[in-house]
Order: sequence, then C-alpha cells, then structure tokens
Amino acid sequence: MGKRQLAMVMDLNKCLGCHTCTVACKQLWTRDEGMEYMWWNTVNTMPGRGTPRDWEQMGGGFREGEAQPGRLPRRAEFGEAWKFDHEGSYYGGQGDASHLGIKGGSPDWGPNWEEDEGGGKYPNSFHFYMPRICNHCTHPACVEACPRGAVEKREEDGIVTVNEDRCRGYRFCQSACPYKKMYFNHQKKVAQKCIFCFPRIEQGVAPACARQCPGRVRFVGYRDDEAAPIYKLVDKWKVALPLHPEYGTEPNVFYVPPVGPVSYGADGDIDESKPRIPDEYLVSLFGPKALDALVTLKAEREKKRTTGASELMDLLIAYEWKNMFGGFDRSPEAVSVIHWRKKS
Amino acid sequence: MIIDEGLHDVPYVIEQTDLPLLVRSDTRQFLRETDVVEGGRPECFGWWDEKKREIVWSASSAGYDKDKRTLKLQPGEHPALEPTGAEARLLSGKTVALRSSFSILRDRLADYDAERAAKITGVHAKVIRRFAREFAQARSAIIYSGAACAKILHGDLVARAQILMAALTGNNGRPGGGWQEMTFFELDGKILSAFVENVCDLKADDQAGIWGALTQMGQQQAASPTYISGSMMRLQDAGTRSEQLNPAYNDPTLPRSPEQFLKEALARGDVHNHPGSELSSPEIIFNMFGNPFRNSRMGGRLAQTRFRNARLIVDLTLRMDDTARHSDILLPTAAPYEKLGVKYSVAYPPYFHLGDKVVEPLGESKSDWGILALLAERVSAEARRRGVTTVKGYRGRPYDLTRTHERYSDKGRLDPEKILRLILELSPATKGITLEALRANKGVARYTGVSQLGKMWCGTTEDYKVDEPLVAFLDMSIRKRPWPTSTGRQQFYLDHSIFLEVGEELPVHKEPPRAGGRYPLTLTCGHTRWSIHSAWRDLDILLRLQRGEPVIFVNPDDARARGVADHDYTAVHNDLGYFLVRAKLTPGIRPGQVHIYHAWLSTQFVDGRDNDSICPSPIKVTQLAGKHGHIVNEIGWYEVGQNDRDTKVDFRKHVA
Ligand code: SF4
Ligand code: SF4
Repeated sequence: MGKRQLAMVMDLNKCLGCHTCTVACKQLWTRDEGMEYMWWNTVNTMPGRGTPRDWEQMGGGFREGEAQPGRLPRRAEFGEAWKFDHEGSYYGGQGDASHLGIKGGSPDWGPNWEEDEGGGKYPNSFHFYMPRICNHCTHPACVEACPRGAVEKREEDGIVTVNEDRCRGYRFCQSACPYKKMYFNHQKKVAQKCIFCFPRIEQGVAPACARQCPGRVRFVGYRDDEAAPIYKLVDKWKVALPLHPEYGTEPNVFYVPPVGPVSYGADGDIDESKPRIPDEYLVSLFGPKALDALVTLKAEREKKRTTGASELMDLLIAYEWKNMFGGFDRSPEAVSVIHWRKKS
Repeated sequence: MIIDEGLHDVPYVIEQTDLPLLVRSDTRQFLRETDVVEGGRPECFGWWDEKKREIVWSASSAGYDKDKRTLKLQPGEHPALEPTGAEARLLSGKTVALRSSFSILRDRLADYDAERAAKITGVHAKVIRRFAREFAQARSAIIYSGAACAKILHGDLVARAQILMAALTGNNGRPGGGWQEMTFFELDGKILSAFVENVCDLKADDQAGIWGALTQMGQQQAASPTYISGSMMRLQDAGTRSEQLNPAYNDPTLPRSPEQFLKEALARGDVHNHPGSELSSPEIIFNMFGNPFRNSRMGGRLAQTRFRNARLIVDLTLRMDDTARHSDILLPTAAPYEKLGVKYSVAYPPYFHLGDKVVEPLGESKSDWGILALLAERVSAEARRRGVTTVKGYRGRPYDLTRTHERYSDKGRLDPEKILRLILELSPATKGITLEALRANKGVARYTGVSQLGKMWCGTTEDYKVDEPLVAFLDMSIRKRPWPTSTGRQQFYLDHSIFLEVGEELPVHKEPPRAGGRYPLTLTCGHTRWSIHSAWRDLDILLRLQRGEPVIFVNPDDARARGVADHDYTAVHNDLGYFLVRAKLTPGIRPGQVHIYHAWLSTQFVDGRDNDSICPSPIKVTQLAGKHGHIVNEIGWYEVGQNDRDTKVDFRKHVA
C-alpha cells in the first residue's frame, strides 16, 4: 500500500451525458499516432453494452483473491476512429451529390453507440449516463498481470501508469483489467491508459475531465482526507460506491447511484413508491449497498426540500466548484509548464 | 378545474386580465366606447360594475386618457367577473346583451375536463388534476416555455393557454412565478451603433439625445422599413408555397383556404412585411449570419428556386454549410474566438458575456465587421468613380452610395473595439461596465440595469437590483402600469375577425394538422447536444461519439411492426418525399413518435435529402392578422412563422 491514494467520486444523478469530459481528455492526451481510437474517458447510456462492447462479460479481476481469466477486447469492440472526407465533400466539385459519410464502409459499433437508448418500456422508460475512467485500483489487476513490471502504481498518490519504455506489448494487462480500461497502441505497440492527469495533479490542478465537467459531477481528492468531499461521500455518508465491487480490484472511482424518476402505475397515476430504475439493476452494478445509498439520498433530499439543510445535499449540489477538488483547484492557466511528455 | 375548485386568484384576474371586460353578444367583439358614446375613444373597453349595475370604462385601455392610464381600481369600483343582465344601448339605438370574456371562457372550459384532457394528451387524468392543483396552490409557479409558435401550427394556442393558467393563478408578475420564455437584457448601444448615424457623438448621460436617435430610427423604419419577413419571402420564391398553403396540411376546421386568408390580408394591408414586385426573386443574394438551406423548412428547395434565379450569391460564413455550398463567392469570417464580440444577452443568466479575441483569424478570414467595412469602402469608391450618388433602395428609399462607408464606419471612427465600448457606454444594462473591467474578470459582469427598450418590448421591470433576481412584469403587478395590449391587460380574448372566424378568440385545443398527409406517426425534432445548431455538426471527433451519420429515434414497438431493426437504413416518408437515416430504438420515445435531433447538414444524409425536406410548414392563418390594437404585423413582433413538429410520417426499412 502506497502512502496516499487519489480518488474520484462521480454523481450519476447529475451527469448530462454531454461528453465534455471525453473530449477534454481526448484533446489533452490521446491525439498522437495510434491513439485515435482511444477514449480514456467514456460515457455510456445505461443500461447498455458499454465500451468496449460487452466489457462486463470479458472477465479479469479477482475472485476471493484469485486472479480470473479475462479475454482481450477486440479493436472493433472499442470502435474505430472513423474518418470523414470533408475535403472531397466540400471542395470536390460534386455538387449536391456530395456525401460526407464515414469513409470505408459502415461500422457496427462505436464508443457511444447506444446513446440515449436505455431500458424499460414507455412510459416507464429510463436511462442514465455512466462516465468511466481507469479506477486506479488499490489492487490493480493490470499491475499484477504484467510480467515486466511496466504497469506501475505510484507510491505517492496511487495513480496507475504504464512505463512505455518497459512495456513490450504483451497485453496481459488488457485481459486482466476487468473494467477494460487499458488500451493498446497498435502503432507504438505499447499499452496506454488514463493517467489521472498526473502532470496536472502534481501542480495542484484537477484532472481535465473533472475540471471541465459542466454538470459538477466529479469530486477529486485524497481518499483519506477527512475534511474533503471524497471521504465524506464514501466513508461518512456511504452514498458513493465502486462499480462492480465483486471484480475484486478495489476501485478508487466511486459512483453516487442514480435515484431516477418514479414510475407511472398501471392506472396511469404517479407511483412514488416505485422507482423506474429497477433496484436489481443498480445492485448488479454497485452491489447491495446501492440500496442503502438510495435510502440515504432520498431521505436527505427530502430533508433539504423541507428544512433547507442537509450536509450531504449541499456537498452534492456543489455550490462552490472549488470545494469539489480537495485542494486541487489551481487553474491550469496559472501553471506555467505542464510536463506531460518525458523530458529527453 | 382551477376555476371549478375556486383555486383562481379572483382579485388578480379582475385587476390584471381582460377576463372581466365586456363582449357584445351580437358581434362577439369587445364592447368599445365608440359603440355606445358619440365620439367615444376607440381603444376603450369596459367592465360591468356589479354594485352600480353599469358599464365602467377600464382605465387600463390603450385608448384611455394617456396620463390617467392604470390597472388600479378606484375606491367604490366593483367589476363583475361574471355579470348577469349586463347590456348596452348602442349608438344605433339597439340594445345588446353583454357577457364578460371570463364567462365565455368558463363555457369553453366546460369542454376540457380532466378526462377529455387525458384523452387528448395521453397523460392520465389523475396526473393532470394533481398538476393543476399543485400549480395553483404553489407559493409561486413558473412555466418556462421554450418552443411553441415556431414549432407547431397551434403553438400560439398552446402558449396562450399556458399564459392563461399562469394568469388565473396570479403568477405573472410574481417573484419566482409566471410564464416565461427567452427574454433578453436589451442592449440599446447595439441598436444605436448599428442604425444611428453619428453614433460616436452620442453621450451616455444625454438620455434625451439617445431617445431622440431611437425615436428617429423607429420612425424611419415605420415609414419605409428596410427589412421584410423571411417567411413571407419564402412563400413568394422558395418553391414551398403549394405545401405551405395546402389546406389538407392545415387546420381541417378552417372555413376557407389558407390562400384566401393570405390574399385577403395582403389586400387589406394587414401584412405589410411582404416583398413587393421589386423583390420577386433577388438578382443578387448577400447572405450572412444564417444558413437558410438548413434553418428553413424545405430549405433545400432554394437550390432550384431563389438560388438558381440569382445572378450572384455571396455568403459571409464561417464554415462550409449547405448555404455556402450553393454560393458563388464565400467571404470567410473569423470564428468566435478570433474576434471581439458580445454573447447572447439572455435574461436567465443575467451577466454580460464578452467574447474576446484570443487568436488571429485563420487563413484569409476576417471579422464580419471588417469584411463589411471593406465592402462598404469599395462600394463608396466605385460609386464615386462612376459618378453614381443617390440610388433608389428598397421601397424607393433614397440611398447615397458614395456615403456607404462613411455611414457604416461613422466617418472612420468605428472599429470592433470602439463599437463594443459604445455598446457598453450607451446601454443602461451595462452602465459602469468597461471593457477593461470585463477583461479583468474573465469577460463576465452582472448587468447593472435594465433598458427602457427592454421594458417596452419585453415587459420587464425597472425594479432591477444587482444581486437580486430580475422579476418580470412587476411594473404591472406592483405599479399597476397597463400591459402593452389593446386592453392594457393580459389579454386572452382576441376579437380580430380572423380569430373569431376560426374560433380562436380564446385559447382552445385544436387537433394537430396532418402536415404532409395522412400518416400514422409524428416527426419531432429538438436540439442535439452535439452542436450549436449546425455549427460543429460535422466535426469528426464528435461524430465518432455518435453513429457518424444522421439517426432517428423510434419506439421499439413501432420499429418491430415495420420490420426495422437497430441501425437499419430507414426511409421516413410522407407526401413530400422521404429522407434516409439509420434507426435507433428506444423506449424513451413515445409510440407514434419519430424523433430526429436537428441541424444535420444535408450532405450528411446518405442521398442528400434531409429531414426538413419533408416538413411542409403550413402557415397559421391567425398570424396574418394585423392593424388591430396590439396585433400588428411587424418583424420580431407578430408575423407568419415556420413549424415542423406537426409533420406526419411513416417509415419503412430501406433496401438499397
Ligand atoms: S481499472 Fe483496470 S487499468 Fe485501471 S487500475 Fe484498475 S485494473 Fe488497472
Ligand atoms: S461527467 Fe460531466 S462532463 Fe462527463 S458527460 Fe457527465 S456531465 Fe458531461
């Protein structure tokens, strides 16, 4: 166990599915050769098959401490970086025959293929958005799977990174990670993944996905900082839970489960007692503690509504964005140089 | 239900709305003073005093003695909301029975019990009742209306019904309540710097001078308007007329064809924003700040009509949108971060937002202002060279071409930064805010006041305090100043002949039209999260986060019934044709609904036909009313619009 562990909490009740996080990450980290198809941050409509497609069925992780077999996600299961012929379509002189389509065939999957589809049956349909990054696990399967020690968990903050100089492209990490958040650069033949924006973190700046989130969904900070929101949400109020705790890697990204809307009864009336998102579904994602978290959330919402005062709701509403980041609230502008490439 | 259960706010309704005003039983028009008093005031309306049992002329009326106008009742006045036995002796000597518009409304509302409303809306009666009670009993309740008139044929009826509900419950002009829509902090400086000559000589502390300039500008526009209605122009030369005027696509209860309503309105001059013969189809098109191919229904038809007829088409644009693709000359403009500008001054975030220049414009592009300045300079020089001075402009208005640049740039004194400073200086909403202060505060500053113009146009209020929410209509609810309508009240009864003829004098429900033909499904549309209108709609990294091409969302049951599976190419069709898209299935879509998010470019559709190509956008005949109290045909005030959400369609799997 390292000295400290950084963590993130995402409040699924507030996520808009806007993908600002996805694009912020893309623009900052994954524009180089071989990275075009990578989205270290993904946001998927739930229920759904996710990214890569059906990742929850690919295995990996641990059961009762035992490493579980996992399979390599295929490239098509992530989706390709489709190309579009802007040049030909706009300047190619084709007139109204021009078509700005996907070059070279029609894909059948992408990183947000099932956007806004969801589940249920009209009028009791439901969906919510689930952003995912690497969980920077306390017990990272990717680290354990690498025979070369190329995947490292940083002593000082628990961020999991790949040492590309050591990586030989065996991809064991990709099979082992039960969240399928390890990517492979087919050009450079190395594994690559979310780095929790450590070059920003080192300068007191929150990760880009969190800092740019217009929904104020994401809290950042040290797991053990009792004065900061992460500790309060995870340990004190117990409303933030890891995704698939049964995978055994002890994630450090936690989710506040969505309360969702209430349902219409058979007679068309609003049935306050019945949530549209089935309890079983949330339990399948976040374990049985999801139900306790929902009870707490609903009680505190009601308290806030009737008395105006609830520590938990005030935290989640996040009146002051700076309070969400456990001290990592410096402006990226204020930081002179962010060393994100290896100094040579 | 609100009225039946006595949940309406009677004193408010009597004071603030036209519901106590008297309507003649013979003509169904409001009783006006001119009907009963020789030389009476024309725009003067009355209510029935239940104690004195006589007509009292409402001091709110637009035609009432100017300095005595008020909503406030005098001591001893007792307007009856539902008078019995009220009558008037007309100048002709005839006696007519009178009813209040409230009592007519009550009769009408009898048709709309919760059960009937449930049938119409598909929302359960219990839910409707609960909503009505909660709305009426809330300390204050807001209806934030986004899209009515510009989206559905009867959007005006929907909006009027919503406003009525907010008025019956006393919410309009109440902090935290009322019917709201997109209102703006009016920036007078923007209008002044755009329209007024010698704007650089205006001084912020010379309010009289500013008002003079604004008044002069208003008079000029009224005398010979320099603009016409885009919708009316479209009817004339965009190849859409037969669809827009097709009676089968319009309200089936109309007693006459839409064409007849249009002809009559033009003959009467009720609609004056109509292009005359001089503009039957422009020879030269100079397009800027818009993408008519995309933002007009059936906009693609411009290619075969207006754009084909023109000799020269110039487009000032920041990207290769559909209009740009159909233009001869493109003048590339700088993108938002490449020029100084002001962002939307919408009222709900009450902050001035500066758009500042952070990088130089790319390639050959220039700021819009700069491009127009160069053109104006060239036009002036060329006019001088050719010895052309005054030409006849639109509607015969004289225009001295040699002075084009002088006027545009105020003798060379204007540039984008100077204009921005003028806007800040001359607008009461930004009093005391400087460009420097804005830049020091990330381009954001709380508005410091409200504009007189905004007050006039948007019915806002002068009770604006920085650090407190802006509450609209306090001038009326607290100060008792009349509303900007004929009756000086929130007016729900409209006695213009068209409204009476089509049965819309009060808000009523009308079945949606069968726009596009008799098809079982309805095409709906809405803003996508992936672009701001069509800007960035074709950006590859964002397309990769979608399906890379246009999609429709349909209910799985509707899809199954038509043998359509996820991602199938699907033809959505009606009388006007079809467009091809991929299908996405979701239970979030109501059965019977086909949803497409907006702003795809036509080039993104596999065969170039877009969803707008099958939206016939029937015209709403009441929008042809004019010259009737506050119902005046003016751009941005009252005019014919477009709509798309009544489009009837079906879809089938497309086999290539
Ligand atoms: S989520 Fe996967 S890649 Fe990230 S630390 Fe855990 S096991 Fe490793
Ligand atoms: S986490 Fe934030 S930025 Fe990402 S999709 Fe949700 S609301 Fe948008």
